[in-house]
Amino acid sequence: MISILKRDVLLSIRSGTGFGLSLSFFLLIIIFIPLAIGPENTKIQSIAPGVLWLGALLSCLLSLDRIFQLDFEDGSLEALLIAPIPLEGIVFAKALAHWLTTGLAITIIAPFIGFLYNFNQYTLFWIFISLLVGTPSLSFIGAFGASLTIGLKRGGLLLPVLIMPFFIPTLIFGSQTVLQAASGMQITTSFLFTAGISAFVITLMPFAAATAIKMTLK
Amino acid sequence: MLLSAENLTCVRNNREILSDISIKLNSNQIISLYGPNGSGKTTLLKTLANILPYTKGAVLNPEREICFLGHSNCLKADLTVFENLLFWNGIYQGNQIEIAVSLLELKEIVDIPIIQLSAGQKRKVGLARLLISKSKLWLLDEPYASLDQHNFELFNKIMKTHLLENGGIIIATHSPIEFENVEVLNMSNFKVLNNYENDPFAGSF
Repeated sequence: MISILKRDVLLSIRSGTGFGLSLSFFLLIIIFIPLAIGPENTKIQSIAPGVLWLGALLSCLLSLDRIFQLDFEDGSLEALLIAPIPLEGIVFAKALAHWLTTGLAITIIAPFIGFLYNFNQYTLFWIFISLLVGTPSLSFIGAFGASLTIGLKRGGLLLPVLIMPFFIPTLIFGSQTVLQAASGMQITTSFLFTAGISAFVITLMPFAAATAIKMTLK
Repeated sequence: MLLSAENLTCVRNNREILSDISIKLNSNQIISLYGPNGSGKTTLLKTLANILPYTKGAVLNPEREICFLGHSNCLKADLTVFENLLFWNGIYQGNQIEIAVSLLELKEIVDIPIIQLSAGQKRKVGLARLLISKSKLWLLDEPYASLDQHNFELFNKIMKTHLLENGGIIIATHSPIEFENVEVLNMSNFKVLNNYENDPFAGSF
């Protein structure tokens, strides 16, 4: 499992499609939206939490279809299917690698971007925490979606349509957490929901995705 | 015994391809699948490897670790030869990289990214996975593809060593096999010819 994790992270850095692409896409969204809606501080601050979370979600989507598609094309997936490690473990490692190169990278950079939106330190802290806890669920739900679209010639379009609905709870509770932190309200409920969704998805999705892969390959 | 299958019916995309195949492979034994293109050699190998399902019969496989080598080499173009081998080494939890590199004469290309290699060189790196896997049972689908004469003989030597070490091989190839005691399985005996049983539109037109 560790070798899969290492290889996927290495691949994503070297091919320049995971790491750099999602980070720069995230930055583009975050920086361009204030330019588009004008410089009024109150307006920007009220939409910023949503923008941050939406940016994270969209940049996560960019590289999702690569999680399994490349391995399917070069035959590795078939070889891994009969290798002496459980397929669920393989899915877990691959989803984790996807998170490390997209979700985690965005999480680390987001508080610095938050400066541009003039947030206080307390809010910046919760931007970091909510993304840290919430973005893994995006990668794991995405891995399940990617496993369903393996082998489809134009799976790239179907995948976002298929999994966007499942991203909604994470998006709502994640951005609520930041929004409530920014306005000084109690954040416990929405934060716990974000964490709960992640925990639920991380435990369940590897099994669902492994089943889907077995069905596709057969 | 390494592998046995009885009265196997192989399916692919819900279509029956082969029926009533019985096969038995002992250690030190090599079976060659013989048949024209489209006779189901790959389907049989994938069924035996437990990649494809079967509808009838049974596959007995006491040796759980199988290494299946298909048409593709399972290599990542952006990584070097060594990084690719290191990955499969981690998957199979082996320590055979150096042996594989020296047996297949890969030393000169070990630090070159796969994308810069020729088809034959890629195939050789793909074959290295067999040695890394430590599996006793090798299922090979056209392993000689794009190999030159020298590497052809090199790989034959590796297969002979594998057989001597109580391994077993099932190979699908169009090249002549120069092994002693090679058992040949003629695939055309098992082909399902008229396969319209499951077709709801059969006979409607």
